Amino acid sequence: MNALELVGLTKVHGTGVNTFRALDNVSLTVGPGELVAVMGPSGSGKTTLLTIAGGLEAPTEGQVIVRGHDLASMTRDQRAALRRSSVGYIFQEFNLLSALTAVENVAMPLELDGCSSATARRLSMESLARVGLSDRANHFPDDLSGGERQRIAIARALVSRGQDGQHRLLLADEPTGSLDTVNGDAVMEVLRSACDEGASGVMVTHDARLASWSDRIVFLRDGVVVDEAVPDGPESLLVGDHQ
Amino acid sequence: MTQREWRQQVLVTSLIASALTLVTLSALTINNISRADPDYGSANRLVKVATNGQPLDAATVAALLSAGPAGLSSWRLPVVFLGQASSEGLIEFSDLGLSSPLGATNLRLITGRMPTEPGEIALTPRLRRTLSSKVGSEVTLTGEGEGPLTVVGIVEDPNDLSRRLAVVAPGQVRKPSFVIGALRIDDTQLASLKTKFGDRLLRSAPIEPGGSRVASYFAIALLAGVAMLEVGLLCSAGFAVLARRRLRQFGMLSALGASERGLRVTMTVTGVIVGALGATIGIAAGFLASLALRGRFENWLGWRFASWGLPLAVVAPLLVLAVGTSALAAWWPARSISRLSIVNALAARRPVSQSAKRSATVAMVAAVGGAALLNWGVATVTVLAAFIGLLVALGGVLLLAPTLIRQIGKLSAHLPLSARIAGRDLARHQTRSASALAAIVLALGIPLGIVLSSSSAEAQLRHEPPNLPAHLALLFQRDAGGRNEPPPRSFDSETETVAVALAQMQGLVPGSRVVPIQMAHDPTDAPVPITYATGVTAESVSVVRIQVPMGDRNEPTWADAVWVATPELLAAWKLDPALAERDELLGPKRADLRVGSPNGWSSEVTEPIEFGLPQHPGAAPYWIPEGAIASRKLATVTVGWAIVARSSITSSQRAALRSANADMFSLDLPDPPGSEASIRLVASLIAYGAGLAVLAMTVGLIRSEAKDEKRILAAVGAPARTQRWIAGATAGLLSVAGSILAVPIGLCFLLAMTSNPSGKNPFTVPWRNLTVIPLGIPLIAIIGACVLTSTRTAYEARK
Repeated sequence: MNALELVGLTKVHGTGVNTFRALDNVSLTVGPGELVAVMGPSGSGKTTLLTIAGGLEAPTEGQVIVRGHDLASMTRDQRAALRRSSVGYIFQEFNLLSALTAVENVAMPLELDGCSSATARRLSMESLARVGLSDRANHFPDDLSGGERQRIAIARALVSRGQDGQHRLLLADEPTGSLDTVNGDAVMEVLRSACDEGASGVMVTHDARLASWSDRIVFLRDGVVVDEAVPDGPESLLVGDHQ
Repeated sequence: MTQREWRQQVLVTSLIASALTLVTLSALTINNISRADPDYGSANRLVKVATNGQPLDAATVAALLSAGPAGLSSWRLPVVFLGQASSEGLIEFSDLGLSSPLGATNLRLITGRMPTEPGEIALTPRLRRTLSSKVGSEVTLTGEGEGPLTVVGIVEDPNDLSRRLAVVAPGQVRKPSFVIGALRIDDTQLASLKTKFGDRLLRSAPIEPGGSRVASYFAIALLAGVAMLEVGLLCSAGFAVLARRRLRQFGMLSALGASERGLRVTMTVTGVIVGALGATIGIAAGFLASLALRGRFENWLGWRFASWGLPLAVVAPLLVLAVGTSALAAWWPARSISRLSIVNALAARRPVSQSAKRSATVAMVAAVGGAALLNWGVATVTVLAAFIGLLVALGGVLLLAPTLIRQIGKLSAHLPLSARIAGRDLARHQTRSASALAAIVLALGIPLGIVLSSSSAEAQLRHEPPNLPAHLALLFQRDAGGRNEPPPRSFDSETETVAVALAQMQGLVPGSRVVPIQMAHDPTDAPVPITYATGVTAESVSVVRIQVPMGDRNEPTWADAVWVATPELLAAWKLDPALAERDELLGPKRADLRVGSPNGWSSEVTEPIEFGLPQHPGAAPYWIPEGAIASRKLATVTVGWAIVARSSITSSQRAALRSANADMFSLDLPDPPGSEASIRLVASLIAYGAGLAVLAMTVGLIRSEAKDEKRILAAVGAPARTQRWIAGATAGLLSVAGSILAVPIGLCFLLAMTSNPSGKNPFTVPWRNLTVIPLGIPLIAIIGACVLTSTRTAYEARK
């Protein structure tokens, strides 16, 4: 089963003369364990693609299928439950609730799902250990560096597995956008590693070097998929038309 | 920067404007509430002379005119009119003209003209309504004038809008009961008048200049101070949010070389602009509202305000106070933000909160010390100390807000996720949250204090003597000295004036009946001649009294007089009329008693019948039945009358009876229902209204910062209700904390009320009232916040 299927997605913002097509008939499939990078200039519809894929907003036209669930047929709360169980979001910044500690942030989806505090904390600590931040578990986000915050966000995205035992779908919007190279690479390593273990991912990025960590790259321009490519490895996209 | 964050600034401006509207409206009302001082020219004394019901004779007028230059001014006569509204009872007749010394300020022509010819009359609006008349119509009144009178104008007394005044042409009051003169006389002339008129000189009061305005300004200052403190706390929370939003801008300015002072000035200027704008709008709105509501206020109070303007002495301090409050509220968060390192400001890291240990200690000391000073000030009637004590205690309690906010943060670690997020968020933004909490405490504390104080006062009232039954009014004859006794030997010898006045008083309570109140006396006693205030002479007798053993040696003492228990009087008190036939004394307790008169007659009464006699201090505690009167060969004498209404005497009837009574009788009316209950109800409503309004503002302010939080919650799959729970938890935590701190403020008010030296009000803690507000407010706040919070995410709101 594919982790994500987007079929003929169109998203129109505004009305009348102010109409703006953020996405225009976009289709995309992400298989199990696959990490797909979405590249494109600003305003090309990359972030809209992610929010629709995660069920945060509805498309004007088209179909979104996450782990076999058609989001159009689900209620708001069912979509929220699907996100808790199967989807992990990572934003460029403002990923964490500043009122909660690192481990509480990671445990949040589990607690929202009714998991006991002890279990949620144990799973969260495991997830933090996976990103190398066990020792920062009780720190508040304001006390952490940008790279640490992003890794905690990834830990939260990875913390729970689907109720059916399937791996999670990671949706990352410029996850290294506010980080330096070292921290950015560290985050990408975690993401790549998660996908290698079975998770699937869609990553929006401007950075061709980081996109080379993915299995496939989709190029968007003005809401339309204009090209797809398979990176040969790091630095392979530093030259060419799509930089 | 002032142009940015306009929504936040509109919110703060609206807040200041709303507060200033209310404060200006209240301040103008307080400032102008006084009545106009009547202009008596050069006169220094008002003199009132009884005419004994006779037409005003030339000798009286001449005597008064010779006493001083201001001369004769008005007459007053109780009369009954026939026809349309007999229940209205007494009417004042006056020939007061607009050009007379009294009329110029005591009378105002509303419409029509003043009477100039016999047969013309001008009425006050209240009398016009009673008579269903208008300018041009004819009315017929009894006691004054033989034929119908033509209404030529409508007049009012600006100092008493409730007067039932009929103004006739000069010299047309034919049966005055007394004459009032505004005279300029010295003590020698006054003594001469007393000699000339004797008992007919009813009153000679000096004319007092107008009262001081110090109390009014103090009340305005107190009101404005409390309102501005509340506004300042709310604005401080608003500006704290504003400062946080500008954190990166401040960091950027610092990086470019802006000084700390420069940053503070940037925010403070915003505060000044917002404060000036809000104050201007608020003062203008308050003034317009006062103009619109002035007539209503005057009708409520019953008099026209002396003046109505926008005095600079009121407006300027309000403006300065509002601008200062706003500037201070903006400066405070700017101060902590400006001290943040540039790197932290650029990274939008919040400033680290300072330890609250020291401030908590100071707050506790201030709260306890202030309460002690308040207690001492009230106990020793040192007003300044009590006032300072109250302020210090209030400040101390408010200073505990940051400590409580920190404790909420610690407690939140053990709460469910939504409450944990809410509690930690409050604790992390301590400046904002503490200001918000202090505003809530103030909004709840003062009304709660009023509730507790009124409850205590009401509890005290329950210990006081019982009230007269609500359907009874007692009237007693008065002698020349104003005492109720001795009673006349024979009421038949009274003048028609008394009988007419009694009938008029009865007429003021529709459907009522008059029952004589009698006492017993020994018919063999020699009567003593007396003179009444009305100039009537009569004879008094020594009435039968009760002899009660008192003191350690059981020495008999002549105590209260004894009323005659007639079937009518017993029925009036809703007692068994059959008791009138008994031969025993009726009393509250069994004891060895004697009834008798000081002149020597006495009779043993060893077994008085216990029955539910009225406990009202105006009523005799022992009654002697008619049967006992006959068996002891005693006679009865009427000493007063009970007006027995079919239902409770209303407040307007009470006012009418008092107004109509003048000096004729000693009038005993049932006390109105305790005003404490209505005060408590109003204060409770204010507590609920103000508390919930401030809570709504603060929770709204705090949750308005939660845009990123909503985005993250949506992304991690939080159900829509999570946002509601967080808002509800925020409101709940703030309201519970606010209630906890409001209780000591309320207790301070209670302390002030109960520490008075007379020791009248016991320190009774009304637990029911004490729990209703602290429990009710959080409950409503939680439900309200949960219901009103939008669950739309930023993604869903985007179009």
